[in-house]
Amino acid sequence: MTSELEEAVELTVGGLATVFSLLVLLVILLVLLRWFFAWGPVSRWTGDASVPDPDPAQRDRALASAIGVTIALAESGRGGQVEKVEKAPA
Amino acid sequence: MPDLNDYFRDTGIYHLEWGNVLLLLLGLGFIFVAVARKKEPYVLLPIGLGIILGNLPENTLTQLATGDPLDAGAIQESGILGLTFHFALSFWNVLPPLIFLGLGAMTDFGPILANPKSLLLGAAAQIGIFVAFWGALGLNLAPGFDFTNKDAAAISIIGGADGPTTIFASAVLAPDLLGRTAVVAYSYMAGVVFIQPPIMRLLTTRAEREIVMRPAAQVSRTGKLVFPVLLMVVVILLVPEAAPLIGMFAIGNVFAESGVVPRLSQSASNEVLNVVTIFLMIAVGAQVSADKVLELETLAILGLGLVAFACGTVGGLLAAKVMNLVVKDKVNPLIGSAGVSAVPMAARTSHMLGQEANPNNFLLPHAMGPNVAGVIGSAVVAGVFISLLS
Repeated sequence: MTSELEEAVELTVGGLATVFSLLVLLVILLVLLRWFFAWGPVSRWTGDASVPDPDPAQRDRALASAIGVTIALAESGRGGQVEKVEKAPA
Repeated sequence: MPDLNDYFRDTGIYHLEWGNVLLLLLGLGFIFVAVARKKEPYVLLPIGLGIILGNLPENTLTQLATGDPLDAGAIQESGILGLTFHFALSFWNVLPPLIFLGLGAMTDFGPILANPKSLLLGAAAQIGIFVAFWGALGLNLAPGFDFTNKDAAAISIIGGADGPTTIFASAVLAPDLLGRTAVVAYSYMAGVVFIQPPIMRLLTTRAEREIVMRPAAQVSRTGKLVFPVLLMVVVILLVPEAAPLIGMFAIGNVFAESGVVPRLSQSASNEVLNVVTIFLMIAVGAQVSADKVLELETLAILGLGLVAFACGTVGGLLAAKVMNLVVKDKVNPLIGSAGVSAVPMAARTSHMLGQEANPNNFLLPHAMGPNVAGVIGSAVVAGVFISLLS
């Protein structure tokens, strides 16, 4: 095998292994993060526990329309902060 | 009349070739699509103008004086677009990270936090990058092609469907290909709505497209603030070469999520992003000049970009189908194709096809997860390529 080909194999294996292992690691960290912030004492300390959870299905529809509005605004050049999504009526 | 003859020989008309005329028409085509069809105007209009400038011979706006570009005399002979390309892209490569700062400020990690496994769909969609990489190397078996590993890596990043990442990787790995890879990447990003749906329909059944996903979980505000910091630390520790992109992306996101620096967040997502877009797009467009583009290689890059994009879409879709074999709450496979980045066009395409199958299906919030994961994934792959090749 030529050195160029060896390097190409290394790049493929290295690239695929890195992106998958890194994203799996992030998934694990995210699950731990969610568990940690949902834990009673922590959620009370951060104040997240006091946020009421609206009807999830309705929130999904509102989120979809809010993201759509945000994208349209961004494309028309009249703003487009995705943070506006959270302020949309749920 | 010797002086007038000399003057004529210095004009653009004297040096104009048929290739320039062809690309001038291409530039006009980009402008037409942006203005008349209103398709991706923020990308196509400045790139179209750049292509026109890049094909007007002897113009001093796009030229970069030969010799040491750091030499004061050479700088004075160079035009602003030539200097922008050399210093802000191929030499220091600062514009793509600035774009990522703005993108970070406009990104919502909520969908990823609500559904962490969507990150895996973003990883699977990166498969297109590797298919294009080997495709480029395979083309070397045909006469007329001589792609190095660096060239192949720069071309393959088009499969990530992420313009700034393509520019970032090409500027480091293959500056000669930068204009072409960037224009092809942005063209395919603009064409997501045409390229992806046939593949999505082909690989999914109507019943799969109708799957209504369980509503996304409520996300903690503190979690949304902590995640970008965590992302920055983990990615930079493992892939330092991805730091310019992921670091700036996370910083922009923390600005927005913190809620305490609205002016910085607004500036990053508006003023900075807009100013950088102007110079980046025009400078990149100006690289599409006849002497660099009208080669067989360009056709190959166009074809490989399309293959990469299609394979990325297939990878994401199939990963979602495989996921459905093991998870309790079914995933609509359409959100897998959003893993190719192209934020937010790919997520919107998933949403549109979902609504086509079932008007009560609201896939957009679910598709944004793989979509943002695709941005992270392609930046990581670019970082790995750069660290192994440069």
